[in-house]
Amino acid sequence: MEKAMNEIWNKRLKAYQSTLLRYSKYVFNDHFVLALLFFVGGLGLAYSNFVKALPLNILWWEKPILIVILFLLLKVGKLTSLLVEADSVFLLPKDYEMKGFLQLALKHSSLIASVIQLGFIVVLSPFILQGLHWSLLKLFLLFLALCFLKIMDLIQIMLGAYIEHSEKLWIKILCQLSQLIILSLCIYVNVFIGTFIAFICLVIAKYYFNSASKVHIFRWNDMIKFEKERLMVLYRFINLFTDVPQIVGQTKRRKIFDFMLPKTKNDPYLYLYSRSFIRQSGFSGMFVRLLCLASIIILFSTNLIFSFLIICMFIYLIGFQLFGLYFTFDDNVFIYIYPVSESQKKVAFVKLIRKMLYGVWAILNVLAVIKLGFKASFLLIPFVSFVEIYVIVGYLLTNYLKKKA
Amino acid sequence: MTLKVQGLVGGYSKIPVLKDISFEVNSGQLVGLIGLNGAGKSTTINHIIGLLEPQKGAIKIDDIGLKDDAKAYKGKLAYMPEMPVLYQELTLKEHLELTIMAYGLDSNKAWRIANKLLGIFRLANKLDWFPANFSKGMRQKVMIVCAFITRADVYVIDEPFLGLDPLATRDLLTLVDSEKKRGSAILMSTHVLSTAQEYCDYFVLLHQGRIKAKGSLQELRTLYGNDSASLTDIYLGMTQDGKSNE
Repeated sequence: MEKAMNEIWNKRLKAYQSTLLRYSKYVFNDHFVLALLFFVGGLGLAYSNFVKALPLNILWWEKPILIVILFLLLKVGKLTSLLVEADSVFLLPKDYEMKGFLQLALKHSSLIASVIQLGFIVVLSPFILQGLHWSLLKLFLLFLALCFLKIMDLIQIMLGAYIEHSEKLWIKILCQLSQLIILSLCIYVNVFIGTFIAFICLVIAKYYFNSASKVHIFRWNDMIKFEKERLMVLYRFINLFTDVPQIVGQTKRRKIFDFMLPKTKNDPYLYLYSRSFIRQSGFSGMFVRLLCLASIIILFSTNLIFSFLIICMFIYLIGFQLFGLYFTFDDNVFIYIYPVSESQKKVAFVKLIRKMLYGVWAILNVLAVIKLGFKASFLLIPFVSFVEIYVIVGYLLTNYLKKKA
Repeated sequence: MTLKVQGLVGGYSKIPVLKDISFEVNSGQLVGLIGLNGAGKSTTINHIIGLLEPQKGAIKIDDIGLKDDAKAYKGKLAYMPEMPVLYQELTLKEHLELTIMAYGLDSNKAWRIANKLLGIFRLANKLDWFPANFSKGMRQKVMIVCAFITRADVYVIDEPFLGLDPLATRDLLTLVDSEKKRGSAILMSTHVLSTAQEYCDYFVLLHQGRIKAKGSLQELRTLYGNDSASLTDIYLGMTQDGKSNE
């Protein structure tokens, strides 16, 4: 019996890991890795200068800051239960075996979380060793304490499978408080005692979980929702780099933007596309993010050519990312049933995308002229980027649609 | 206002699922398309609404085929799918507006009908909600309202009763009846045979992609040789018969 759950877990873990691997190729693409290297390099240099500049005597803020940082870093990493919606139907008869399943999940999540905590400790070690004059042994003990506290946190999440919301809230608060207290104990009083108490807390949490799992039934919906939310956070991040199919379904009403919708009376496709653009987080979110990024870069740029390249690049990026919107309704049968000719679809789409790009064009050019001041040579930017919009919605879009068809 | 299906051969792949299907749905008529799961009801409907292209045969509404004039053909047709199909990002009100726009309906007139229907199906206070998040029955009701505000010439209704409460089922049947009286031709697929027997004027019995029999209940009874047989008796009798033959 147990074997079946083991098998399910192993299969899911394999599939999950291969999905992550597949997406990581897109996330860590050449551009991103290069940017990351520069960023980390710069940050590392600043950090090393900061540590070198620390005085011999311990400053008053060093310990509290460290506690806060460690506490926040404990929040990284969630329970990976890999439960899916269908489980509440298909695994329902295995209700009584779900505890074993969760323990496999805990084992996996604890391992990952410990590796992450190790990474954090390694990064923090120059500060702790240099600033607080700790020994390596003490540092290692602190790492153990962090692992115990993190695993206790994971067990607290796991408890959600068996206890009520109100009770869970108390336990959550208790868990956070004990984390803060134990960390303070480690840093201010004695790291040996702190680590030992962390271990005791972990044992208590595990005991509490075991006894709760014996008296309550498995709360399928809560656990499935929790896993779904965890995956959504992950997918939303990956979605910055590549299309994640699970993300597209997210829609929000966004009533305050209703005034921006075109008042069309006879263009169903424009009606659909404009609403889809505003209410689907995927597209409007991407649009706003890229526009903000471009605006910030332009506000920091003092070079005309650089601003020019940035504006052209971002108009291209935004335009190209919006192309995906074209296919949003393809799986809706009514699109084929309405007595509306298909050629209207592209016309409406081009209309919308052109309008969006005009907006981007206007905002970025105004920002650039505010920052750089107006010179005759400046006219190059609005002119070329305006032509670019027509290349995008004309030539590039047609090519793109042809390729996808 | 006639829907004519003549010698239809078709399906999803090269191997046809439907073999020589012919029937008519005339003005003022409610025709029941009856069949077990997998008999070919949905495939037939997909051909009629233009999602699939016939391999042989023709489908015409008032003598217009989809290829002759797609806009005219589709403009005469309203469709209600078995599983509600909704736009994630549109509110109930916007679904109706879109339908009005897509069919080029008179907005005032359509909204008058819509408001009446929204009242009947208890949706009037949900105009600003996303119906994609409604329960199955409520989504089904949204499909009903969207289909019936079009005042179409031909309605194609795919298994409408599953998920509807008894009150909504009754209201839908009343609605179908009034559209029939207005002169619409209505094709309804279902396997709720008792309801079909009560309301349909004419039946097309599909089995394994072929028409096993067609006619009014009286004609089917005569064909079956039992004057008091129910539609269920006839259908089961004929199809089980069919099994032993093939």
